Amino acid sequence: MKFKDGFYADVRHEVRYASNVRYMGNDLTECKDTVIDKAFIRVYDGKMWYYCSTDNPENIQSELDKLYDCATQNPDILNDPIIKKFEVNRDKLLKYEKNNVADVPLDKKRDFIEKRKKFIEDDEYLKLAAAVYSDRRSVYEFRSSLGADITYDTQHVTAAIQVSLAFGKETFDNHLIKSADSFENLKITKAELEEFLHESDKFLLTARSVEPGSYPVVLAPSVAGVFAHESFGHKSEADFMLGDETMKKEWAIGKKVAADILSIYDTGDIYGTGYTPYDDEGTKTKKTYLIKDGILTGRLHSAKTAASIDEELTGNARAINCDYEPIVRMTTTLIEGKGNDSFKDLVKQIRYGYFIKTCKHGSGLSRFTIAPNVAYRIENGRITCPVKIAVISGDVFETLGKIDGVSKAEDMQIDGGNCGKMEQFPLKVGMGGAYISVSEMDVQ
Amino acid sequence: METEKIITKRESHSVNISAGKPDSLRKVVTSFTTLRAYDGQHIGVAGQIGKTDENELYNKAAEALNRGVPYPCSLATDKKEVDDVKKIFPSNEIVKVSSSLLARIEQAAPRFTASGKIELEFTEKEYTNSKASHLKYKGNNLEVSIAFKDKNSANIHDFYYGHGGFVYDEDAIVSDCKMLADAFLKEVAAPEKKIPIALDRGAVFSRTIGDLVPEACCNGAGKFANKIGKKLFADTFSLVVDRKRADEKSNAPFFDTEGTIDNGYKLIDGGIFRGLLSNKRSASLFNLPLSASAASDSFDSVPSYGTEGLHIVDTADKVTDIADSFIYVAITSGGDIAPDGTVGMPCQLCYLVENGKIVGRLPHVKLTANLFDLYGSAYMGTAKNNLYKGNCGSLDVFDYHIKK
Repeated sequence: MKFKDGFYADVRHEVRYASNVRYMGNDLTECKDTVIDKAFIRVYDGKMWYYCSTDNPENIQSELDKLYDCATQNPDILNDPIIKKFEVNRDKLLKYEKNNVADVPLDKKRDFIEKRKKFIEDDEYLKLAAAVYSDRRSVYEFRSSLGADITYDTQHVTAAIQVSLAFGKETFDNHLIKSADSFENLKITKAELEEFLHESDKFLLTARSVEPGSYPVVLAPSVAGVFAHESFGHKSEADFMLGDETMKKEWAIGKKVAADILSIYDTGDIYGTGYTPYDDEGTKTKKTYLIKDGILTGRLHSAKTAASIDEELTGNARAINCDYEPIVRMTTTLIEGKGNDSFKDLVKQIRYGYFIKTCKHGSGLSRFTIAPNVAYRIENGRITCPVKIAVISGDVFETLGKIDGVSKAEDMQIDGGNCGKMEQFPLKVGMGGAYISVSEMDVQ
Repeated sequence: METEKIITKRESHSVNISAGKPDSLRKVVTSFTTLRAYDGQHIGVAGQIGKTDENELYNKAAEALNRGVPYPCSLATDKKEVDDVKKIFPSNEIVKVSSSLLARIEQAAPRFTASGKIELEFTEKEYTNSKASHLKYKGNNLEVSIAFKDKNSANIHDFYYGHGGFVYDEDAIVSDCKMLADAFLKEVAAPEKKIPIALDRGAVFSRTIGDLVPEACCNGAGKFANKIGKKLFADTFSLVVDRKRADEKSNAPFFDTEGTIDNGYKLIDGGIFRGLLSNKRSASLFNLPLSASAASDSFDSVPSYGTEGLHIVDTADKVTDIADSFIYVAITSGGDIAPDGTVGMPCQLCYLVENGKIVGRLPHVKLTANLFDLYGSAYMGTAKNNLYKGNCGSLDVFDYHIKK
């Protein structure tokens, strides 16, 4: 690749293998594997960025040259604050060559998910079961005009069992999702599926409606992860601070933003759906505390935002694929388990409230929302009946201050998830943490 | 062996807006070809991005039949071509157009910082099959999506503006943005008396899409199980698949990925639940009419379902014909419907509309209602959102007392 002087340029090339097997009821409705080979090219002249995507990697040089023609040569480009921020890493980090999901025959993947589907077929309330296996391995190459030269891979594997149950007028949909970073590590046991079905049936038959209002809640680790991601993670993405002096003051590092007990961090180092050893600008991932002991400690950056605010790179410039430019995104975001309480201790402190065990999705603006799936009422310090809750929500900053319990480090769990930001969805991320309790959230 | 082939080409030109200025220009040209093979019992799908070798695709699709994915073969013989490309502005002027617009917005709303995207997209889709069917669509559209942040606020964004369609009218967009900025800065108290609320078309009902899939509904699952033929909603409430009328801004072909031409299929007609989303698999399996809702997750997927063109039918020309004073819910992020039909939806940004004009910003409110009540006794109608000069979709209006 020939880069020209007077410009910054980089090329991200991804060869993505993905397979998907899906059963709907008894029918196989998808069984495929795919290889997608694309590249995304960026040129910067100190004033504007110029991007293009190509589905023919043989054309990378000609597409790069076309972008140079759009931009204006800048002899001083190396002194641009953004360019000075870029890391120039040279590395080859192929972790998944030996347990590559592309080497696992499609039939084996199909057998895996079909067998799990059969475990649940006899449930008396089951109206429809869907079982989905999916995997992906991406090999990335990143080259820049500064000399960065990185090759690395990521991989994740997911199995999802979804059930639709009905009894009389009552209906309930539930799902069990398991993720791993290789086919060999993906486990769903018969016992797990039986327990999942038992709980789903119980929910269908006995779940009660709730009276909307404000209540104390306990969030399970997977839900706490969604809470961390939606409530504070998105607010930690520094692109919203660009050119905004008020935000720089309001979001000054060192400001008290949450209860003392709360620490949230983001890292791309954890194997799984959020694993991102280098971001899409070639920056090596870092463990970034967003909140430590209730204090605003850091935020997530691309080179542009780090240069603008004069902070350090964090390795969070990510794109969903080679059709898009990298923007500031999370990797794996976790609530740190460092309390002394167990889950039971957190529940014991609540006279009347709710335990949110699983959720469907969340969102985060000035108010965050989480749509629970399986939830229970807490009465006099004990979990009692399952309840139907459409949404829990709250003002982000008020709620961060109302966290009054975090369980122990050994309770921490990480789940996979998909994140959307502007036009880019879905980006694979990880989220999780320990159990947390919040003294008040809106429940509808 | 029967076959069908779909060639899709897309070209997009977009400008990213950051801190009120054009920050980057992106051009994406992509093409992909899908070939499906049918042996009467199964489907085999193959696809390629970019350069296509038809023989290789054919062989791969034939080989994929061995995977044993059951699917009926039902190929139509329709022939139709639609060229719906409109003159918006030349794609090579998008930076100039964006710069001009943003400079005027900055003057009109100086308290706010704009970010977002302006995008022109061209689409070409061609469907052929071994029964000589040939369908071709060309179209384009413009999307202007701008998030505004009050320079004095600690929020990521404070309000949004979105305009879409085939017309670029800078004056209209600037005027709309100024109106929203002025209204945002004017806090007003929630009205004491009960007044209607209005949300973007389908903001609530779209949460039920999963229940409109035949595999769920026909097997007794979901909110609409065993309800086909029953009156569930208001007389005026209808839900239809109509690709070209939805918001009058979609760049959607007149046929689905299986070559089924949109015929205005009504899932709900006058409040009566009539039908479901379908593709050729579910139509055959459950004896349903084709709704032109087949879609593919990617260029080599077995057809599943899409919602292109699915929308609630307008009951009036403009929303102010339905109500001239109401609470306009401009942002509903998150929320869902519980298994018992309870809708829980925090309304993130609401404006008060009086005499057909947005007059100010209301405090946060929460919508808690039952889905069937909302689109039943409380449903007042759906119509174009004429609070704006730009093309900003339609609103569903409900006679419902919203809680603070």
